[in-house]
Amino acid sequence: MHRFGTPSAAAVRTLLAVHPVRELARRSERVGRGLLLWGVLVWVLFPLYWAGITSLKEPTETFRPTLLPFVQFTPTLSNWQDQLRLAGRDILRDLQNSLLVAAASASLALLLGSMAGYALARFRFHIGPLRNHDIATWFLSQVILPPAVVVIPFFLFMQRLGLLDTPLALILAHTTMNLPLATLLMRDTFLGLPVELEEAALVDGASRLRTFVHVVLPLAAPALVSTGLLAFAFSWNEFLYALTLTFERATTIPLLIAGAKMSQGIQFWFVSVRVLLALLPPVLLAFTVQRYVVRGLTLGAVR
Amino acid sequence: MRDEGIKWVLLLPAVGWILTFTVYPLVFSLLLSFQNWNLTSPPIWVGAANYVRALQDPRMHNALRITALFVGATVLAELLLGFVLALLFHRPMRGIRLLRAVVVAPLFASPIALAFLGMMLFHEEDGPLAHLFRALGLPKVHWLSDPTTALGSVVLLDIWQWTPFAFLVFLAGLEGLPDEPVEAAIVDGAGRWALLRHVLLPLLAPVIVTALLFKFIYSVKVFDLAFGLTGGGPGISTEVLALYIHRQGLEFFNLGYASALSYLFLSLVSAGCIGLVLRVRQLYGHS
Repeated sequence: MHRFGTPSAAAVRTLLAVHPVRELARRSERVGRGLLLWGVLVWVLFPLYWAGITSLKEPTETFRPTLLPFVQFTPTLSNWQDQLRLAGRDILRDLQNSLLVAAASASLALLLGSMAGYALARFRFHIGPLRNHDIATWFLSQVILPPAVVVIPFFLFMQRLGLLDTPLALILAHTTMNLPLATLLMRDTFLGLPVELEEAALVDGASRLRTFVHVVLPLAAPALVSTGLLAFAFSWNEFLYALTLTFERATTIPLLIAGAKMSQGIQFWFVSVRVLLALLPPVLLAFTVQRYVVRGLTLGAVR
Repeated sequence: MRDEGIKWVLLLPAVGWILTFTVYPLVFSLLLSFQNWNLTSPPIWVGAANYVRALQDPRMHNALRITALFVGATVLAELLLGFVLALLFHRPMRGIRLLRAVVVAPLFASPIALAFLGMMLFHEEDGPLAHLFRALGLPKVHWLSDPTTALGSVVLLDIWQWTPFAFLVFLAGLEGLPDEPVEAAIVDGAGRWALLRHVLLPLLAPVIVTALLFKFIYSVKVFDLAFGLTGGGPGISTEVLALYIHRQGLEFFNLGYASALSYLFLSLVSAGCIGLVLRVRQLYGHS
């Protein structure tokens, strides 16, 4: 498969490093790059750090530009405790909904997507003028569709089916959102697996389906897990469908955030706790699937 | 291979799912765009009236302009920054693994939570930026309350979130470069600039196009950041297309009109994405 060449960056590396420049210039460049790297790290981490320390400050302290807990201010867990005490039921319900919707939609997308991905990777399709890569492209084209465009008809259907404000409505929406991702990433994975093992199983008399379930899927387990976690994170973060389809009983964590807007201005100590509740799970998940992030966001176009 | 029938059993559930939950709603929405309907009274067929109205709607023009500005600014800034950072950091150095791990965080930060975090960061009296500007003796910036800077603040949040995308894509591209042309250029004594201009850029063109088109798609769909950070305001100065459509449809319940707006939106996005589809079709075709 064409992937912009094969990994071999040695030349590029030596190129810039061995370029004939004076030793002094080289050293200052190294220092400069080191500083820049730390600058980038601060730029990326500062907003998260700010949310973290704000959630640990007494309300009055949140208006002051103090940065170091223990040194500049005394950290407290009281904001977290207050949230659990005052809004514990809302938070728990939204957490449950988010977990249920994300887990169910990721599993469904993975199930349907790995089946379709396997079909596209191992069989030849001729549907009129369409070939396999046309079907794969059709799956990809679904990503182009802005959710704002389909959310209104989706809302009307769910209303007609009596599914508004149920987790099922969101599961259907998020599965639709994640299905192209799952199909294309799993297709990519299956294309990379050796065919010989499957052929051996088939020769031994196993059916296609049996081979798929017992030989292919176990080999693809790491990709299955990574793809599933990506889909889980995307569902966890999804806001527009959740805003449209749920109001009270089936609301998810993003709606808990959106409900934190206050009439008397923003209460930092309150908002920071909710922001962290929403941010941390997918961000932590992302670290575990680092190698898959680019692949996921480009649906397999860049590895 | 044996049992050809099984391939349909494997493929059709996913295809059927998308037909049911995407294509059917789209067809429904197309029909709706030729009607007026507000849920309370029965729908009335109005022909192309909604499209005519949309073309003359100043708020639609505003949304188009805001979205174009947002897309242009974010795509350009993120690709440029990502490219420069990738060039600087694709060589092994201390801290590089940490950097690669850390930059993944913004990509997976929930956009609506990020928008609320943005409200804290951009707070005009007590936010960290306000504190910093005050300490440096710089004039106060109305990050969110001034119509001209508010869009800039949304753009800034998007840059924080998405520059890592361009960075990681370009890193992957640089690591996948073939050795020969680059070595040849060194042997020929090419300077850095010549190397960048005549070797790296042409070789990376496919990756750049891919990053550009994917980021275009992600930018043009923007909803959560604007909804959460500014709510489209002040006034309608940050009301992007997705936000305006959502308002027309699900706040004002002008379902027919919102559907017409959706179709205009979709046709614009699709036009912008034909390039992507052709490019990626090529990639899939090579397998």
